[in-house]
Amino acid sequence: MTKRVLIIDDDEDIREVAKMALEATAGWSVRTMGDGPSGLESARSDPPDLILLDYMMPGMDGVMALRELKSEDGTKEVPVVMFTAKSESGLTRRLQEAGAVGHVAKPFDPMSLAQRLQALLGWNGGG
Amino acid sequence: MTRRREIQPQGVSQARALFRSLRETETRRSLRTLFLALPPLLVILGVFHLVALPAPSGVLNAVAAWALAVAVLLVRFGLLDAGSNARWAVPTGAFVAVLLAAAVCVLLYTVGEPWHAVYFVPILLGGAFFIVSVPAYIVVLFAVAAGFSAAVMFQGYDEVWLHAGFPLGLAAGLGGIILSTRLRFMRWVSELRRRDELQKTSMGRSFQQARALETQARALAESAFEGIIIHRDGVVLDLNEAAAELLAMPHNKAVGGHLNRFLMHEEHDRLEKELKSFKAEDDRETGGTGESVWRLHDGRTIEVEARSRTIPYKGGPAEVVVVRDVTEQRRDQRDREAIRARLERILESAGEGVYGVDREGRVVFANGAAARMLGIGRDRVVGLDAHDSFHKEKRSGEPYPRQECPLRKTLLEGKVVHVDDELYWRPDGTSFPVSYVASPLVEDEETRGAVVVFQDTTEREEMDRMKDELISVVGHELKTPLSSIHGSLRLIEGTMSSGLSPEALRLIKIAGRNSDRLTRLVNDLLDVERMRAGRLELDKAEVRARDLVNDSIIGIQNLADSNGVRLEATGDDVVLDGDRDRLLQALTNLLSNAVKYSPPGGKVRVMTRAETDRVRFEVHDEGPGIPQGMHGRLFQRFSQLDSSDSRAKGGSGLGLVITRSIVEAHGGEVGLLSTEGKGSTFFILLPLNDDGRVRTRPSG
Repeated sequence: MTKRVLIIDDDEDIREVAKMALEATAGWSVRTMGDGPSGLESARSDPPDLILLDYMMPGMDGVMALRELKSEDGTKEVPVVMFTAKSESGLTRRLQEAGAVGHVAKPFDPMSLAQRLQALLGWNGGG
Repeated sequence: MTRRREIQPQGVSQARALFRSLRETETRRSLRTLFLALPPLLVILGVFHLVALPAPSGVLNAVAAWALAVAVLLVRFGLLDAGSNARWAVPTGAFVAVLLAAAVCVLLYTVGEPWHAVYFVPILLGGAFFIVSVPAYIVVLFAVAAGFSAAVMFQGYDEVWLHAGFPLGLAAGLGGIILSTRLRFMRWVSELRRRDELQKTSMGRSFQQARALETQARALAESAFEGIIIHRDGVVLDLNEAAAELLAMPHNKAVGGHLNRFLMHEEHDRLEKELKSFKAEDDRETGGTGESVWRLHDGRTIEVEARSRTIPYKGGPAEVVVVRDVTEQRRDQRDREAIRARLERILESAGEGVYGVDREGRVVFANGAAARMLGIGRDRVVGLDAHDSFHKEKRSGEPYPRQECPLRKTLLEGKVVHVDDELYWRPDGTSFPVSYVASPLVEDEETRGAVVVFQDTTEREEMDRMKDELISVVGHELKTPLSSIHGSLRLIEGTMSSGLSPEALRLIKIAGRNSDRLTRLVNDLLDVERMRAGRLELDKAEVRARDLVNDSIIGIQNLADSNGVRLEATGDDVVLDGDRDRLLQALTNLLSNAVKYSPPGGKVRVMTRAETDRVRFEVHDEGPGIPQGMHGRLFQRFSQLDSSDSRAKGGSGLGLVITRSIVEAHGGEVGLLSTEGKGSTFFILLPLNDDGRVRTRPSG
């Protein structure tokens, strides 16, 4: 089955590049949202197979959104990978503690993004 | 005992003394003169008898008269008295008596005239003035009476003899009265003398004692350090050496003059008033003490402490003033005070809080800044137990047991401790972060307390937080557009290359490479900046060396392949404590360099070795090697051997710096072994975890 991915990131270009990358390299179905609240709304109404969530967003930031997602019945089963330009030590662990499956650092290689996500999620083979 | 003997001396010594005493009287003197006159008269009388009377009686009478004269002379010159011994008294007396008896007999017998008895009247009367004892007088009386009676018997009694005997008897009686009166008088005089002597002796003794006491008192006064001046109404009666020295005026000049002489003219009135003030109101009390500044007559100024008191002195009340020169004392005091004040000012002006504790950890002083920061009133802070008052909780909220407090180390072991990350608590419950240095206060080689200098690091922590945030934000802001650039270029290259002309593709590739480079640069810069600010946080966990090596090789594989370099890993598998991501970064940097500088077809070897308490990673390349002189510079920022290299090799010049920072943050070392032309070996030494666990497996 084609995987359905929701990308929540406040940067338009990142959204576009990531979307193009996943569609072109893995053929996944990708939709994007530009902020936390609308992302949550989208996730609630139509839960995807994966959410790619930006760590630093104005207003509701990534961690808050993550917590929200993990606390709602409809969305807590959806795996979340954090998308971040930050490179603090222990970030991985902290994000995992908050409920994320892992994180992808920006800048990212669009050609191997899908591969990375698959590895993180334990998906074998593309959709 | 001695006294008694003096009062009741032996009989003759007393007699002598009495005799001597009487000698001084006027009466004695006149009598002496008289008795000096008598002998010559008697001699003349004898001569007359010799001439006037017929032979036998004339001669006999003359001899008798002359014998009398001799007797009188003997008595006159005190045979009984001066120089003579007691033993002579009696024989001399007897001799005189015999002489007298003989003379009386002879006279009265030979001449036969009763009226000759009148010769013996002066004997009897005069003798009373010389003879010193009643018995002796009686002997004389008896001798005269015997002679008279013999004459009467011889010549035959008739009434005329009675008439002649009457004046004789009268003289005898008078003589007796005179004698006893005299003797009584002499006794009285001797008694008086004795008493006088006694008084003189005891007075003399008292006087001697008084003198001795005065000498002692004087000696005491002279040896005193303080100046002692005795005056009456301002006139100096006496002063001791110390006073003379203190007031710079010799004794003889000071005594008799006014106290004012000691001081400069303008001080005179003041002195009188002052001296009055030094006295107690009630003179019966000890006296007042006062301090003053005196300008002396010689121009010097001294500071004195003086005390004054009324004493009896040589026949009247006088004032004794005790003066001490405290000029130096006061000066030292003032100096000490000035130093203390300056120190206090310095302490007060310090921005840091400074407080001192004793060995038990109780506050003994605190400067204003400390009290202010701690929110405790200045007057209340001394005496508080430092730990209990403001140090009893940790940052984490747990209570801070005394035994763990670093200050204890200072107090017990005398060590200086620097603490950077603790909290002090205010009485109102708020806290503030502090960094402090505690140093021991050592006296006589013993730690008597400690001094703590602390700073409120709230601002600093705020700054650090801001720095962190800035780095993060800057990082984020830089990396986000880079991400889009990189992503776009890579996507084009990866999915749309067929639609592009070869030139376009080449350009895309160039752009992509450089955006990669930019990204790496941004990452490295951010890392370095973080490390420089000391804000590098390590997320330590157990890391297996083999995993580390493998992951780094995987990461560098692409680069190695495109450079035609082979990678090889050997060595032990060791478990160590470290931040996995960062260690990977460190190792990868070394590998990346090794690959970049290896010749095509060359080999890069990664070796892991477990040593006693650490692990050694070595990355060996077969590249051109690095000259010895360059080794040190390599680990500094932006140094590559040849700046032209950097573009070709695509490094940022920060890789080794970052590696070093990471390794050093783990408590390890980086190093280089290389000679030009012989390749290079970069090594990393890392300590194992704290309990030194080393688990090794044979290489594979």
